[in-house]
Amino acid sequence: MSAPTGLADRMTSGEVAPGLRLVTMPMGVPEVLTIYGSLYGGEVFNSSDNCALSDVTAAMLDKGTRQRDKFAISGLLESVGAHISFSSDDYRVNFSARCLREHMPLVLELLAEQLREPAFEEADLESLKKRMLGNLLRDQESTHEQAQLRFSQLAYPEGHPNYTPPFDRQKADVERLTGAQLAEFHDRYYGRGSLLVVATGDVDHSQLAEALLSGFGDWRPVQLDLPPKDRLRGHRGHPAVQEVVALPDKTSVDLILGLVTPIHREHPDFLPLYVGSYILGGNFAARLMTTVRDEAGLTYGIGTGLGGAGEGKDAFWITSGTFAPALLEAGRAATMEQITRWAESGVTAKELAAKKTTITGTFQVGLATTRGMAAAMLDVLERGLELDYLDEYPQEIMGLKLAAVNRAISKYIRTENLLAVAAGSLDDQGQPLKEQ
Amino acid sequence: MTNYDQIKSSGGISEYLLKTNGLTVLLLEEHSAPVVTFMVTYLVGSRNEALGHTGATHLLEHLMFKGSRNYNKDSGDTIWTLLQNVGARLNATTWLDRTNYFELLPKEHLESAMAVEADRMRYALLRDSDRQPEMTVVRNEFERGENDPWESLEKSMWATAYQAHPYHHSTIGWQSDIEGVSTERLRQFYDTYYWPNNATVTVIGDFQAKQVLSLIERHFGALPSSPEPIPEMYTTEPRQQGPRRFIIKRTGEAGIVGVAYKTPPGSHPDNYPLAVLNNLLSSGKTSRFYRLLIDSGLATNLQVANHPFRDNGLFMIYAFLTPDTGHEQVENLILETLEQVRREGVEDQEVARAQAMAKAEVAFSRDGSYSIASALNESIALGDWTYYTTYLERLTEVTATDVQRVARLYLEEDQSTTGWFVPLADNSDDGEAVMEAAK
Repeated sequence: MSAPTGLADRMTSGEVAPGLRLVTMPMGVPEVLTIYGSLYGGEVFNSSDNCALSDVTAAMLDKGTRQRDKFAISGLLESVGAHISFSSDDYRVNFSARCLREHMPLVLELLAEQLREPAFEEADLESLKKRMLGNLLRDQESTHEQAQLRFSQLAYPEGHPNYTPPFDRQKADVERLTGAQLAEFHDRYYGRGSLLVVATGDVDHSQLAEALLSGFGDWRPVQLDLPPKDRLRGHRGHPAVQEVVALPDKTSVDLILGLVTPIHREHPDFLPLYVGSYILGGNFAARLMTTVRDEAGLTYGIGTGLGGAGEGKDAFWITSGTFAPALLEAGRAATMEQITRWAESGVTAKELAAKKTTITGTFQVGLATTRGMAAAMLDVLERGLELDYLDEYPQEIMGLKLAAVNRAISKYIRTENLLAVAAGSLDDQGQPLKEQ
Repeated sequence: MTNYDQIKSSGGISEYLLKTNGLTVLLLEEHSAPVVTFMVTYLVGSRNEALGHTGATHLLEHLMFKGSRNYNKDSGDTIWTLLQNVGARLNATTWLDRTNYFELLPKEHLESAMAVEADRMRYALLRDSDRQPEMTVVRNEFERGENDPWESLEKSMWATAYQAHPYHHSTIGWQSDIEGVSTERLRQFYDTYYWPNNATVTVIGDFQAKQVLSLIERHFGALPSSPEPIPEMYTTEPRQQGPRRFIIKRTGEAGIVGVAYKTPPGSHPDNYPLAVLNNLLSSGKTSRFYRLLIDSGLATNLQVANHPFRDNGLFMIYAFLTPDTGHEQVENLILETLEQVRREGVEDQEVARAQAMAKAEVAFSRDGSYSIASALNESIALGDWTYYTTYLERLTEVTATDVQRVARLYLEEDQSTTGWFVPLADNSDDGEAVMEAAK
């Protein structure tokens, strides 16, 4: 395999203004420009009495500015086929833009206007609230969303960035938000300071830097305090729990088996545990898909992974799969057999060698599009790492030792502590409802 | 390249025909990254199925990963392990008109993907001992789909709109057919459709054409063409003579309204103005439905689709309702909007906007070899791969007059099918409307 060396050498990086970093990488895709970026302003900055503040603030960014209403902005973008979108996660407000190269100045002008001067019109807010409440109702009838939500509540204390509040709380918090609250949140948290922008494709660094300077150079500087470390701990060493979320009229059950680990993304044991987990359930060729799906035919999909590990948070380890209600018990038993064998005996040198090339090859393939490359670049910057890490990561994976992987599995995966959540048409004992 | 006929070129893509067995080959060199997408598209989909074996194409696609002559558990090299261990992204998809198998992988492993696809084109094992566990896998895929109210609604939409034509049933099939189809029937399906002369090999990415043609010939050249002609699917849908309507009632939280109209086959030129109509109705915040349904807070999301298929298709409009919004209200607004287009036509500016958006989308779709392959796959399926390369040019020729004409021609009440998903826990004032519609 041709190793993806020298990626960082092909990038240009610089601070456009204090607290605004730009990294660009030209790629051979004619005309196409992809821009990804982020700044702090996510859920951890919410006031304790409203869990929806950051999400709704970000969702209102494309609903008009103090200079132009949403239709005027959209009309300009759509007339040249460009897109700008916003979202938020636990720590950051994220934005992405895609356009033809010639339209970069327009897109940057509108991006800056939207981020800096959102109008927060009450009429738009009321419309958005209705849509968000509708989407929450759809999540509420989803076995997948219900299982994920309950697992997060069992694994983390309320207030932890990985904790998801009950649906009723989410709905109530959305409903009572006002435009004034959003404007206050925006004034307090949005600004230069943690603003990162990456651009890939048909890109000219100096032109983009100039446009960014014009758009954001005089934006207010913001220095934010991140949550204290003790707020990043999950329920470490939690006892085993089995729960059912009953939902009528569902033909498939979502099952989660997981636990909290005391390690975060930058912990030296993270990659060994990540690769070990990949061997258990990272892809079709992994143990769970080979046995529970391919051999036993019990599920369409089952997998294992680590998540919620950024910014120093305690990561969760999770195995999740779907099963017909009548096959849930057999599916759970087959899954537990694999997890137990893996946790007790670890993985083999042959498996590790195979998954090393899988992960590094997949990494290379993922960098072949402007979006894949931009996402990887932004991830590195958000983690506070140097761009060289994109070149070092495959070497780091290839250098992992079998003993380190098995030590991490043995140290962090305790089957006696597993949290189990099944969401679907089940009674409280996990048996199929009679009408099934 | 004496064993190939060069057929044509369009948009940088070259078509070849392997003389020994009729295999079509499409090549597009794209050197922006050291990766390649390799894809085999078979012209067989759920349109080639009938009652009793609906879902067979898809179930067969699953079995194709269970092993072939050279790649199986006994040989130590399963398809998944061989290709995933080198970082390949691989999978297969089945839809109405086609089945495709693809690998996106580092370029130095391209030959491994070719070897696998050539081997399973004629030497898939298709064992009954593999079908039995795979049947329950596919059944769980079906069950997962049924968990989603929209998927249930969409299946019923096609089943109601199409009664004779096999687009009536969804690609995953009816549950009892998934459970009941025999391995023998699946093998019969395989032996009817999986031949080089019913397949197109597509290679996109960082390669040299001459070398790749040679490799394709090495791996696929010895496979024979089908001993019998590939059978044609000859069922056509009788003309619909009046609007159709259905309701799905199930425990749930949020309602959905769907309205669909019959459209012409994908190769018909009216599909271009229909694509523009779709865009100006639903793409972006300035679109008519966004303003009417989303911005007003009546719907959380919209989904408007008019995929070009080999045979007649559907222009489908789905609105996902916000809490306390009535189905009838949203349905009436959809119908009034369409009537307005039929009656008054559309603005030149709206058409120009749709064309500008299409220009950018075509450029974006060239970002990555898999993205290109995926779009090209659907053009192969409808019977003309140059649909992909000429799409923008044809779309640019569309006028506002064309859009009004196709709206009048196709979006007419007698060719419509309307479906509601009504959550039983719904407390809105739909009760009477539901009863009215049910009558």
